[in-house]
Amino acid sequence: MFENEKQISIESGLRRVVLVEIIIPTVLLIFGVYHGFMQVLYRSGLIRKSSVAGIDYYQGLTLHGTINAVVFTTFFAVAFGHILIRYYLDKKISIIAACASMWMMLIGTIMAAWAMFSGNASVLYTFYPPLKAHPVFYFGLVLLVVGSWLAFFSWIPPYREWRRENPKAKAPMAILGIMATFIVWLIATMPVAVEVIFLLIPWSLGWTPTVNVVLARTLFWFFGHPLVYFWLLPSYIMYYVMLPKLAGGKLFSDFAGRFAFMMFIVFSAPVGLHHQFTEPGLKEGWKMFQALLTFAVALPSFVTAFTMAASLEYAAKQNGGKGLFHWWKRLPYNDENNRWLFSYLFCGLFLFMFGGITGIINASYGMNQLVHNTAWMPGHFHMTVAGPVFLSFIGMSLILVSQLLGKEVKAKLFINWVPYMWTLGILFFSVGLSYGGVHGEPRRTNLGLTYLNPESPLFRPDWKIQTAVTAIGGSIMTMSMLIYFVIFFTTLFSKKVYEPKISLPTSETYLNEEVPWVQSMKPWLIASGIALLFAYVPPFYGIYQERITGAPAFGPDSPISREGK
Amino acid sequence: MKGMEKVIVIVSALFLSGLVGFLVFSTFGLGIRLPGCLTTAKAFEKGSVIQRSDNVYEVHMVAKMWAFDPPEIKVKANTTLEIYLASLDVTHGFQIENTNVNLMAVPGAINYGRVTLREPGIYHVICHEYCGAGHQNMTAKIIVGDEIDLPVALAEHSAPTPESGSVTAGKALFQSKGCVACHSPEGNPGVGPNFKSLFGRKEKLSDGSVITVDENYLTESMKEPSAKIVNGFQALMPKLSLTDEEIKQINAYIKTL
Repeated sequence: MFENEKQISIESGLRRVVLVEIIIPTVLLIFGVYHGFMQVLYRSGLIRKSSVAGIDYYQGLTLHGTINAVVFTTFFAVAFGHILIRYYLDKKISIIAACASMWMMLIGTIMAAWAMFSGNASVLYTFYPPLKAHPVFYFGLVLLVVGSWLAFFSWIPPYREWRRENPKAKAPMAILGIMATFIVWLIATMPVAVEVIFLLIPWSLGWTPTVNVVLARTLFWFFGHPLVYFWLLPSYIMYYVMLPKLAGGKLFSDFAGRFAFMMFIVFSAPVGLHHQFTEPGLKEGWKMFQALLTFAVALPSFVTAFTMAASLEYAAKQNGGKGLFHWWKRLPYNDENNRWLFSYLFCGLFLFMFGGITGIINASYGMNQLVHNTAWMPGHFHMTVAGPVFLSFIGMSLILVSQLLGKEVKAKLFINWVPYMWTLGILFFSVGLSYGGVHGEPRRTNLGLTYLNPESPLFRPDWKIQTAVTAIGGSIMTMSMLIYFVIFFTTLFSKKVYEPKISLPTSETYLNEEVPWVQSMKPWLIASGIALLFAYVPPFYGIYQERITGAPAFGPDSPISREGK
Repeated sequence: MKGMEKVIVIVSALFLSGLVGFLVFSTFGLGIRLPGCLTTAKAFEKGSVIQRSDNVYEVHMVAKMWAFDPPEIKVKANTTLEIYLASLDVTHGFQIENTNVNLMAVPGAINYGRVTLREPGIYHVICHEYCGAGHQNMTAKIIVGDEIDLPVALAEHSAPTPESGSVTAGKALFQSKGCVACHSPEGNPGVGPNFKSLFGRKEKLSDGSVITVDENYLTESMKEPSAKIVNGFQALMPKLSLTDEEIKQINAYIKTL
């Protein structure tokens, strides 16, 4: 509990919805983490088999990606959104909509989980056609996404009501942030809905014989890049709203936060072609244009980095820190009372420096050819999505579960071990992968069967050290998560000690600038539409004009097309 | 904004513009280009290497589950390769290690890359996009040397005795041709019959007849995979372009299982 903050009790319907949306994905996360750990063992050649415990390498990789990056993140964003709307607007959310959204997401997850666990969808979380999964997998994903839309739509009436009552007031930063998050999500999921509903589902049911692969891939990455900002923005909300308060200070600039969120609405989507630099069917000019726009989307992250540094410096100096560098010592790095979320957010921020810089390297057009699809890529995105995103999500999940059940967080002695061990693990893990990637090690490959198997003619002894470093990192990460799961579940099953209430650390602002053009979303939404038109109309028209030959479906187990027999 | 903030904003803006400047320079100044052709020419179905001039070769590279065709290219140093890449089935990746060639093979379109290989040596090509169960077996090699009969290339196939030599070579082919993706040498169930104690085994065929696995049957099955299908399996195996010598080597390896 944060005693000095506003406290509200939440009606039991919404409370149950949010608890389900946090606890079930956390249980699934056990499988996600397990399969992450298995990856590093296969890849370092410690396991030289195609499957362990009945689950094939690529099936495990599909589970790892889908559970960790799609299911866990989407459920958390929805649950967090419910709480932010309820807490900061102090308005009720339609419980029917919240329940319907929860059930759609749950049923969708069960469908996709069945397809993956039964081995009917070993197509990885990017499900690139013409590798075909069971139709139930695609239907499950559609339900998960539509369920999350429903949650977003249920927040619009309380927001409008609040706006009518407060026509002149600035929206609370958390509200602006969560609205930006779900606007980005809505933009992102439109193209993937088109891909899945109009291309993949009819084709997987056998209604259409072939699929236009170039079109499907372009639609997927139209979704794939704003998707990463959908993961990132809830963390940014915690950075702007909570981190300065936890550190003992104020948010340095109110304008910076609002500007960053608005920038993401405009620039998170028209950049997807930077995932397709090495593909045929898309002209160089379109790729170059989106490469330049990618640099624009780096701007709000720069703004955030500097604003956070300034906010932390202010906080440390409030705590008695002095001098140009010594103030760094006066931050609550190891707080075990009620400010432990600081270490989760701080570690995430630290990892994101490297995640951001490697991201700029990837976006750098010609340079992308050195790293595309190599081990460098998971090295990069584990410092973003498994850095600030993951650490802030698991930290906030623990806070919400304890507050919504009225329980004290247990095993607090170890609470700060989780982010620091995780960060150490990620550093080993990503250094190994990045080095390997530059030396040609591919991502998404069961290296243990061939390249890291001394008995195979394809054996690459020069890859042994980097994959071993990756395995060490992965093992440290797994141990950190074991500690987290122990804390989470002992808290969950402990005794209730207070009446459930929500209270969230909320920063005041140091500079409270009045900048009208970051108050209203309208101009930014219009700008977003224009940027999308310029970025995506030419590629889609080009693909249409070229009339690319469709591809029949293939299962991952056979080189003969399913339609061919 | 205060003084210090202004400085930070200006420095960041300069830094970002600097990065963009380098990006533009590397593309237009240094000529490091991305693949960008929009081609819907009918995909070639067989790989080939065509000499265009003294030191320029055009390569038609076919990617398919789970091999590249041609699997090996030998050229002299300082040769330029103009590579056209097509996929016959799913999406594959094609990266020549230590070069700027990194291409996606997308069914329905042809990709293009160009590279001049100056240093002699073996350049590994690895499929780096997940393409199914045999993805980790999908590789090719470009051997660059001053003489066409390279000592490096021969080293792998040279052997102390002809018998053990062909077993080793057969095992290498068994991996590199992708056989292992469907036929388990350990006796695990797979897409195709497993190869554990295969030689001399009696197999029931789909037409009901029973045969004993011998050298003739194995040779026929490699040359004409769909001629005789073991009961309970499907005619899935692609035709491989193997020489008689290679078939002998694979046979020698199968006998040892």
